[in-house]
Amino acid sequence: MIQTQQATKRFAGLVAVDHVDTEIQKGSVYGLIGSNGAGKSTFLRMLAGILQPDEGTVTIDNETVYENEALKQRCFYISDEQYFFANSTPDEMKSYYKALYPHFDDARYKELMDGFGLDGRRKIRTFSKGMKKQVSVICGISANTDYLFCDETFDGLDPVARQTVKGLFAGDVAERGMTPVIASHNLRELEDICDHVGLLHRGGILFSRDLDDMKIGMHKVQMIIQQPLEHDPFAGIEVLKREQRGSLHTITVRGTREELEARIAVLQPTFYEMLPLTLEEIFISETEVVGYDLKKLIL
Amino acid sequence: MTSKNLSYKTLVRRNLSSRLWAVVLTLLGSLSALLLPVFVFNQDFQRRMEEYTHLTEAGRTAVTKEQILREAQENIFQILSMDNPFIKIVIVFMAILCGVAVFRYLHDRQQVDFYHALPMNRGRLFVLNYISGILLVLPVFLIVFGLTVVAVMSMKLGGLLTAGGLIQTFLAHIVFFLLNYTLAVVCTVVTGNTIITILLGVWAQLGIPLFAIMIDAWKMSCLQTYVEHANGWYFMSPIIKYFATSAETQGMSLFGASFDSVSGMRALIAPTIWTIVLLALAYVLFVRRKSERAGTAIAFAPLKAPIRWYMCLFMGSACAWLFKTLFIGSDNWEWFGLLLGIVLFHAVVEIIYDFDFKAMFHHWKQMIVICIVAVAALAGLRMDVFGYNRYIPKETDIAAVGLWNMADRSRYGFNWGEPKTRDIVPLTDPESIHLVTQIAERLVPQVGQALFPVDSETEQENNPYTDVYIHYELKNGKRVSRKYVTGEKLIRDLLDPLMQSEGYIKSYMALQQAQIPENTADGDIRLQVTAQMVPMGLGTNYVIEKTTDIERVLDALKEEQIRNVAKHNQEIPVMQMRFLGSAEEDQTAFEEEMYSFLMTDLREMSVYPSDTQTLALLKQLVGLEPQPLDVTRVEWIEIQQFPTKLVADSDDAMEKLITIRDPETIAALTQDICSDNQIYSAGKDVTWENFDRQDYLEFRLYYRDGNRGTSGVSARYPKGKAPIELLRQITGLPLRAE
Repeated sequence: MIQTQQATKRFAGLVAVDHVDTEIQKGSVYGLIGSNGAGKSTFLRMLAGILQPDEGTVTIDNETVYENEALKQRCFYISDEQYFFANSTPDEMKSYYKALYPHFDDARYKELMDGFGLDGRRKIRTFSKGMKKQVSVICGISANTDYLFCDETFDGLDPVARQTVKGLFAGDVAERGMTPVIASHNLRELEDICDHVGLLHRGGILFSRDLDDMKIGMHKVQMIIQQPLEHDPFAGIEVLKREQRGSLHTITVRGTREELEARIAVLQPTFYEMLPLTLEEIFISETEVVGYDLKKLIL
Repeated sequence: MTSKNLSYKTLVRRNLSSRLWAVVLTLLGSLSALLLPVFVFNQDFQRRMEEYTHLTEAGRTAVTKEQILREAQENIFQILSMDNPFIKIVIVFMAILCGVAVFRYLHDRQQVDFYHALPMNRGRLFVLNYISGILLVLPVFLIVFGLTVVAVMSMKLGGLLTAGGLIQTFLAHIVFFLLNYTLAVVCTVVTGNTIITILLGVWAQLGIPLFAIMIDAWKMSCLQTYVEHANGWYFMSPIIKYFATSAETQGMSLFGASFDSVSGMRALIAPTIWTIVLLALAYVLFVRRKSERAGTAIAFAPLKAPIRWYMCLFMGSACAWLFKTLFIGSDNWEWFGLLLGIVLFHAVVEIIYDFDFKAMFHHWKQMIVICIVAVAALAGLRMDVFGYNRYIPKETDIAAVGLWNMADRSRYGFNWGEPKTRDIVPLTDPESIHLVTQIAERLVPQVGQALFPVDSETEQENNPYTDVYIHYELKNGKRVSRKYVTGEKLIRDLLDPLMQSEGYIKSYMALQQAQIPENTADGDIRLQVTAQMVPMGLGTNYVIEKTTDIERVLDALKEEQIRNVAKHNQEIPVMQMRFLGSAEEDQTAFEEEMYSFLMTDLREMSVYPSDTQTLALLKQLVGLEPQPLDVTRVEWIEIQQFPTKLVADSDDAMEKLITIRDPETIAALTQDICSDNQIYSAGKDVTWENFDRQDYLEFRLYYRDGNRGTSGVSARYPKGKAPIELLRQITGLPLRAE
């Protein structure tokens, strides 16, 4: 389990991460979201043991990460700006990582390189941005670590590669309990993979919740109602969002499904359906509750 | 093999393979500085030997095979010794380049994130990188050095090389490589930007020597009594120290053919200690360095202020000097320069720190404080607020004193040479210490006062002044020196009571220390008496072998040295004596060991006309009396003339050399001339003819010297004894006696 207590990092007077308390359970997929400059990368670099917190603690399985060689063998950091040795090939990078990560899986590396169609002996400098990202991810997954820290990892990947990578993450989480922590400023990237999300804003964490918990008791309904509404059919239940375009009504409400369906039945709609909530919608509702306008915080 | 070792090897190999250019550069540099010159010198040697076979007999007498071989060996020795500047350039260049290249990743966030996210702690990462940098250079250098030695041996040109010398030269190169390399590493770790690393590297190499020079310059300018002396701080630069360490530089190293391993290795102790200290510093700084400092100017915020202060004070001081030099005679410009330098370089440092022009006055309050401190320091130095010029140690704190009078180049308490405190042969008795401190007390009030009117040349000539250096060695081991300017007469009046006292002469004059050891058999120690004051082998000699006779002469001379001390000041010696070992003993070896049994290292003892008792004894014992120079043995006289103002505009203004071979003219010229033995031993009141200082003449007598051909001896005339008319005729100069 990753745990931060009052973790703080300052850069020349600027507080990049401000007294963050959070817990990331082992085996979960944690999404770290926030606008540019929110402190996501800094927080991730602290988790990876690159930066030492100025205040507070960052621990993984109750051990401090910074300068902990044994612990860092169980963590892999994929930077948003990957670094490869000058003139190196993926195979050379693999050899380097293999010397440092005791559980590095050669077979997995080969399998993934073949799967992504990458040539391990080609100079990395000749690769496209997306291909370089793929090499990083392949090395990260092949390192077989318990924790994987990904900073804007999906940026630059094509949709197919993106889905493949998400699948790989999901597979490792399921098979060996890997814990990916994925930082992104794009909510839509994370919603189909994360089961736990933390929102960073101006260095502070606004909240950190389990997605399933957030979805419980929250519904989005689209319905067509021909006759004008004479009174509020949802009076008495909490309406988080309400939109109307002609006869098409879209509402997001809190309450049980049964109660909601009973209210809709009274309205005799021509058509209605219960839609899945996007992560963005969940967050809008949550952040509005705590007084923030999410659209200003993230994409 | 453990996985840790395996990973170490992999990582080092990775580091090396990504910097192969450094290996190639080292190879090219070492080949150019070591192996290539060897082949060039060998080719030259072969060519000269080939030419030798075609030489005529006359040509072969001018140059021998041995000489050609010796020259080739000397050239080879220079390449493989510490005298080879080219390999030093290669070593220093590679040390700095590798130090920066291996740790430069710290300046790039992308690379910092990569390396610091790896499961490797900072300490291990440092060791790995540090070793990689060394391995980029030293193995290649070792191979090329070894190949060069093998090549030299196969060419049979290594006659001057010794195994010890080669090993220690190699070790010296390694030590200085490591020193410069580690310093480059420290600079790279301390900074967050490679350009700043280079600037800091220049400062680290030259900052301390330049600061020491600057301090000395200000002290010389502001403190009238300041004595400049060799400053160890000048060598507080790895590069300067490396290049100053040569094969024969005494005190630095002795990497010569006759290598003294103890002395040679001793020269490496200081650089080795410095390397270890810097390595420890680099390690600590590396481990403590925050990853986020990549890209900043200085990675450690607490260092910013000291560097800012140093730069402002140093450059302010340098600007003050610049303005002082440009506007001689006005102190105001000096102050302006000081403040301008501080403000300017404060702005420069701030801009560099923040990489932002708008930051130039970020710490303006600190800048004002620096200005105030600098102005106060300079004003304090100018007004001597700490009493530097007035300082005289308490007599009770003084262990020894020394005094150097520039007027007659007389020294009391220390050896000939530069007036440095380290040359003191101390006067330790309370009377001498008291007298010297009294002299200092008399001279202190004169500090800063004009001794003579500026335009009064006559006044200066009639009452000339002199520089007097006084050195104190304190009981706490500290050495202090002061320089005073005072009238020659005054200093003589002050010194004479000491110099002519029996106690002083008995305590400090070398002759008084001389003792013939008890039970010395006749002939074991001999005394050579020469009737003329000429170099060894040119005069009429007699050797006294009987020990009791030697003791009698010595006693008489000692007694008359005390009794006639005042007269000796005005006399030119007429005879000389020196100790010899037994007839079978080598004279050089005897003189080297002389002090250990005779309690003196006095090579030659002079007898003056007033030493009548000694002269009578010598006449009685060996029948010798003072004799004039043997003119018949003078082959020719050379007169070198250096015309000055009288003929400065004529075509004859060049210096001329006149050779006199006519025996009659030689006899006339040498009638009252004194050889350099006499000049050296003459009393300090004796004056010499300078021909009214209008034209300077140098005389050199060439003697027939037995089987060895001729020997040249410098000579001068006592004042009033020069044959002016004859010299006018010979030189064609309008000479005048003074």
